[in-house]
Amino acid sequence: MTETDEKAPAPVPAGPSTGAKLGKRLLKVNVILLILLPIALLYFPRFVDNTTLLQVVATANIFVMFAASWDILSGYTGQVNFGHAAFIGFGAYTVALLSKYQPAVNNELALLIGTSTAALLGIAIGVPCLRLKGPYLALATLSVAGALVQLTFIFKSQTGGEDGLANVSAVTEGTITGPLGEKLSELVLGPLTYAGLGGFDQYIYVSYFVTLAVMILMVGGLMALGYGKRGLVLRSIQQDELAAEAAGVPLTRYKLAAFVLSAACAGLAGGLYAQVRGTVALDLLAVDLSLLVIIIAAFGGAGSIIGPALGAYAVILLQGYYLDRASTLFVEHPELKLGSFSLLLIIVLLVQPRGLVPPLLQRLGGKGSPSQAAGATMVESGGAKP
Amino acid sequence: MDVLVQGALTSAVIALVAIGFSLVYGVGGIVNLAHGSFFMIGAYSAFAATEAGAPLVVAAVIGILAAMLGGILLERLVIAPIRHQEVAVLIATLAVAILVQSGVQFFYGGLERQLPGFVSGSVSVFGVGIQQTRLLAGLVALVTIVGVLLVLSKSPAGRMVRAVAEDEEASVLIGVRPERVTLYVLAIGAGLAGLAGVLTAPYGVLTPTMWLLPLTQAFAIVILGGLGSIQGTVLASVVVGFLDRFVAFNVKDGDIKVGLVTVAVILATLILRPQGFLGKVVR
Repeated sequence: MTETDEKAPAPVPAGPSTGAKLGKRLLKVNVILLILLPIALLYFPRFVDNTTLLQVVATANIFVMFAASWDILSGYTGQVNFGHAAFIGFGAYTVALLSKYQPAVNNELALLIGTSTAALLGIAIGVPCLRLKGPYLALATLSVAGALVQLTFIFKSQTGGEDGLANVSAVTEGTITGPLGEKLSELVLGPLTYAGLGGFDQYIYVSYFVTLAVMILMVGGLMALGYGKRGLVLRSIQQDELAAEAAGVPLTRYKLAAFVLSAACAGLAGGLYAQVRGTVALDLLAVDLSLLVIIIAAFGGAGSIIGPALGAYAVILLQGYYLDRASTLFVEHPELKLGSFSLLLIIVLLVQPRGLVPPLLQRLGGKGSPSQAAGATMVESGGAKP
Repeated sequence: MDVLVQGALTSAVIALVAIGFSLVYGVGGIVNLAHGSFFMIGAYSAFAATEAGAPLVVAAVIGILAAMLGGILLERLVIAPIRHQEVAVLIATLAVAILVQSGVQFFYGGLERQLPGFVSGSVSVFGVGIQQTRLLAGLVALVTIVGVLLVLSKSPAGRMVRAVAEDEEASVLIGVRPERVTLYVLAIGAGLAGLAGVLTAPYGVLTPTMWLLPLTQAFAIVILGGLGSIQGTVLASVVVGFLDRFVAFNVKDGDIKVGLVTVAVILATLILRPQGFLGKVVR
């Protein structure tokens, strides 16, 4: 792999003065987005009294974490992980098994344990995969996720096999009625939409706000990391491993750290997903999920954290809500959704390999050289040019 | 004895899938994650043809042709435009695999299907009773593989393929068109995988996710044998095939553990000898 990309990670200005200005404007757009988005999401329930939609957004919050955690490894270092579902499912199943066999463990601790086991899996996979790249890494990660699916069959009595496990200890349950319920409803929903819900439905709103809070923390942390000095180091690994090593980057440590961080974040999100859904099943380990994460990241533009995050909202809202309302065909044949996304992904790869969000951000930030885009060049790297 | 005979037959069938996978990588540098889908397309097309009333032999041919057509379409529409972007090809072909999966699920549902056998009953080979369909599958696969190897080593077309695999730029200099060769090799590899799908359909089951195991096995084989090395591929198929049957017969619930063994093989090889056991050192 001798990639020579003119799209360097650091803002390499095309013209000396305009470049820096552009970078600043772009940063401003990013910052505005970063502040506006959480606020909008915080107030979202006030204006939408559609609980289905709210639940879909809660799910989308979780997928944002899936995509962002994938991005810190694959989008940044270029070690493209084709089996992210392995980490997600591992965290989710850990939480579910804990809730089945150790009901005494509370939710937060279960999440913590899920996160750590996923991180351990990250080490277990990361170490043998350190030297691999491109196709080797892709197929290795793909088959590890496949192996986990088979493990659930082998330990069918514990994991439920293809039925999965139900009754995972939920984030919270029940409805608070009475004055307290009304108070909470008014606080969260405002007077506008609070129209006789008969109390505060904890489950929906708590899952919404919990996922939102964890998502903001995780994405914020990953972005701080990604846009900081360490992110630059991670990118340098993608651009040219040898040069990075020659420049004194401790390759092994950085690559493994990215692997473990990605795994831990995915495990946390997976565990949270299990608690929000109340069930775990094989779809949390399947190739379909791994690809969906890649689809999201590719739509959003890998290597920018914010891109995949926005991509997740678009894809999950479509998948969980709007497509069902667009045509009954999608209700009867849910598999068509992933099918259409795959088709779209292929088209995006052929037409706009940098994803959709980075070019858009760039447009917002002002016209200019493509080197200003926050998006990485994941799909463009690895060119076979000798 | 059981394991030996059955292992030999299984090896032949999975080698059929793996050879195409390995050839396509060797020639075009393309790792085609949709390779398992050709296996599935072959099996399902043959199934569809028998449903429509076609005789079995015709159905088998239809299955192979459908897989080849799939290979040609894949190369022309998806791979060719992004051929030199390794990671993009990986993602795009995985997307194609999922696209095919959801298409199959749309038309046939998630239910398991089965093709009627070409022959029925069982015979005894070296004192081991085998279903005739399995025997036929193994023998046809074996003959095909020998044929492919002969073509590769003796014919002018095979020389061209090997030339491109060896050095793409140099092959251009002697008048070979690598794009063309890639297309042909992909189509033939797809056909071979389709043939394997048709052959195993009578004793395997047809599901929309049946593409993953052959893909993983082909990958394990190719890693074990070294990406791009044909002799390595054939040898490794034997190893994986025997392991497959050994586990299926001797371990409790062996059938579902087969995939795990494959992954273990992959990881062990990657740790011990990343370039495979007969592969060239890349980079």
